[in-house]
Amino acid sequence: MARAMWRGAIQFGLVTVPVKLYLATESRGGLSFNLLHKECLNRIQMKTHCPIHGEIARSDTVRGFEYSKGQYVVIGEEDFDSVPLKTVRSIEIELFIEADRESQATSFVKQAYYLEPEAIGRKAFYLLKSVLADEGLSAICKIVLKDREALASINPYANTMLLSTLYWPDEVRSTAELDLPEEDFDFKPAEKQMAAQLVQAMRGDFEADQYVDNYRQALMAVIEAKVEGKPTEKIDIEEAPTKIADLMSVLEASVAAARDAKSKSASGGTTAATASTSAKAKKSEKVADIASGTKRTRTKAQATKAASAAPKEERRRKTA
Amino acid sequence: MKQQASTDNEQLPLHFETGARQALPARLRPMVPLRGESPFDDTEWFFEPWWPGTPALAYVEDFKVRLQIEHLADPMAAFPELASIGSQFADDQLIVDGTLLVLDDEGKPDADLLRRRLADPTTRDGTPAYVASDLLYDLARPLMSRPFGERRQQLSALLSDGDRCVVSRGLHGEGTTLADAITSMGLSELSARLLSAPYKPGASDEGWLRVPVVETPAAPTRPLLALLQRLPL
Repeated sequence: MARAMWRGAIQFGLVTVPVKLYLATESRGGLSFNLLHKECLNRIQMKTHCPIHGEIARSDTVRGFEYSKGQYVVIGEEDFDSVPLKTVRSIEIELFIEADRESQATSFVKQAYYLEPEAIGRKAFYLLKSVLADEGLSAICKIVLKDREALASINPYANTMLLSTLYWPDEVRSTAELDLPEEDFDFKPAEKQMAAQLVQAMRGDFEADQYVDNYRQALMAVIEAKVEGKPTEKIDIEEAPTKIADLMSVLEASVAAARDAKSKSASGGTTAATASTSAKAKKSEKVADIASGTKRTRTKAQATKAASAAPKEERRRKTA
Repeated sequence: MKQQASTDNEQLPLHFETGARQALPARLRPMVPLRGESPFDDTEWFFEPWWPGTPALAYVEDFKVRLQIEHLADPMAAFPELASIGSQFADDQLIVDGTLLVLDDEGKPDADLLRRRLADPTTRDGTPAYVASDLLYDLARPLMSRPFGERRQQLSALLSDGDRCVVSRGLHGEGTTLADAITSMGLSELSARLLSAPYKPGASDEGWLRVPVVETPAAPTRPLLALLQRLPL
């Protein structure tokens, strides 16, 4: 595994458990890109630059604290070691709380770390873990990490425990800044029941490995294609064949053809020419009718035609 | 201070409010068309092809689709491709009457492919598609007593054509023209619906006829020429 980023000891009461800390997560949110010079595609350099001495090496820098405008005091590594705090090199457990979701205090997590007990403290470590698990408790503790004292919680996790650093209460913004309603809403029992049903229908076990960062994968595919010199085609979302629409087009074409044939037979036959032209006029309207599939209004021409339609008795006879 | 919640109409609609959002009936007995004799023209009727598929009711509930096909316990297992058609409807809580087809590679309805699917729900040959003809429920409210013409209009308004589901096409009044058209497509029956007729679940009625278009001995009122043209040559 990666290098431990911290060594120290969990302390509560008289018990001391030496542990190491490892980062539990890595951020892969976005792919990282480098800035290049547009002309020559060389990577640009960020140089450390002193306004008096020009370019200097990064190793020639120290950390300064601005205690008043333009006034700095230099803080070196030795100063960090001499910080008079008990929590240096130790994880001081302050109290144990119910590990349920009600405890808002642990909602704002900065970073999660895996704890690894040193060989000598394993028994005590797993004793602590089993007590937390059995009692459903979280340990709230303080730890100094990277020059800062952090509030943290310790929880059992898989075959070890997880230390999550938390935001200090004064770092958590108030919801008072939001535009939230003051009134309570009255829900009808039916609404509540419906909402409950919807939620119930979507309940499941969260299996995190079923979720992937699709955007990252798609972006990676574009990059890989470019590396291999392929044109980066826009990936079309797979489209199902529009076969049923085709079938409807065939029907529309057939109807048009059938009408054509009919009008020809009508004009070639003995029927009066006027009848045939009025029939043609109707036809153009009705082609639109069948083509759009939506136009359902009856035209006047159709309405007048109703007068000459077969009498109802005759239609009845058509039923077997 | 606790106030009464602002009036409902200022809030986004809760689709399940009003308590009227009852569940759809679990099962509806489809209407059975009567057998007609031969194609006819009548402006009070609407004619559409009798597609060579299986009659199917489609239930859209919570935007999920459930099909009901006679003698098939779990139609969605046999036609999983149709699970997505719910998104083509603008409303929810509705029941549609229509025909389920299985199309071959050329896009023609294939009764054999359909039979294979029905017999073995694990088969995945062909492309299933649904042709909607009638709207029986909308927003959980029954429409079956409304005239067919109105139901069909409402169906057209809320179903947008998609890859696997369309509103059926047809002609007002011109049964014989449609008969000619579908004969040339190799189809043999049409569906004739009286525009003013209600939908009668589980029953038959003269408002819905299933009419063979294959030529039966002369209908005496029809001109001979038109008759000849319908004969496959």
